[in-house]
Amino acid sequence: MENDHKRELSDSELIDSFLKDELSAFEALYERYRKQLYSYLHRLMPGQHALVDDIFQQTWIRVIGQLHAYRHNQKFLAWIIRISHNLAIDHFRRSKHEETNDFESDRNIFFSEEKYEPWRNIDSSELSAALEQCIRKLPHDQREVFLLRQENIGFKEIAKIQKCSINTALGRMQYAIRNLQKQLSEWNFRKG
Amino acid sequence: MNCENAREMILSEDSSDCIREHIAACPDCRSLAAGWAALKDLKPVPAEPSTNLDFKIISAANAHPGLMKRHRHQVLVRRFVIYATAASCALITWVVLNTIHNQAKLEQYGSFWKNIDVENEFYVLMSELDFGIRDISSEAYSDISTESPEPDISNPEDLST
Ligand SMILES: [Zn+2]
Repeated sequence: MENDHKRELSDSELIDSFLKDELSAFEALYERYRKQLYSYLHRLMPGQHALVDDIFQQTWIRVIGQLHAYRHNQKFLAWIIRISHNLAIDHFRRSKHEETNDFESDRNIFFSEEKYEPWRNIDSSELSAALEQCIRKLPHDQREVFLLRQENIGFKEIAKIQKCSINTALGRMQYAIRNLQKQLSEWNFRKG
Repeated sequence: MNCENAREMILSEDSSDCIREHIAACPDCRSLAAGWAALKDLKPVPAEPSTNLDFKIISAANAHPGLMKRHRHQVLVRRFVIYATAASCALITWVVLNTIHNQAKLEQYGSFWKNIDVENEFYVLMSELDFGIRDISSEAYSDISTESPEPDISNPEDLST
């Protein structure tokens, strides 16, 4: 009964309740976003299960500690993704991972002319699996913008997450789509 | 409208009339719009965190300072209730025991008073305190008859009374 009531509350109301020491409010908030964030992180860092688990857990621990500083005019999902993003960046910096910087070296994607895209007619589950493979090959920043847009995060929020201008975020998204279109066309060609 | 404006509107999913006109006339933007429309909802079955991970996170929330404060408050309240109950029990026990003890004492005194010859004891006490009625012993006292003596008919003074 109480959980049903909680499910109807907005993110802001749940956060306020939790800050007034109601654990069940946090449980409802967590339930609302756990799958979405976890899935997002898995797609952002494919194949790195332990790292995803670690960043997912650290994200929520930071969320718990910083909820009092949450501004209610922002999207909660965008806020927690920003925390995840910062944690992932910290991790990659610490491990001197090159992946976060490969965006800058990947500007050679051309604007294609509109062409026939046969992959659009393929069964969606097969196409979805192929897309996941193509997303893995995207430079990190493009992958991130694309996945954030799939989660319906606006460009203003994306710019905040990536600490760049809205225009840069738009450019990354455009490159991502062109890149994926190209890769899917090649995949479809190979598939015969 | 130029392609830059169109790009922002396409990728932000703004579907106003002016963007439709631009897309109809511009192959690049049309391709971009078609690509995004085909890909935006193409998501795999969502992955789920393990129950162990869920547990760790909920436990972390449970240890939130505010909740901790409340826990501490609850512990204090619980402790107060326990102590107050213990004190009340002790008080009640003491009152009950005391009452029983007093009653036993009363009963004891009651039987003492019942068995005592009050009148006799009074005189014993008085004699012990030496209030000048030493001679009035029960023995001496027994000689004093409360009844009037028979008049001596041989004595004319008696007859006159
Ligand atoms: Zn255009």
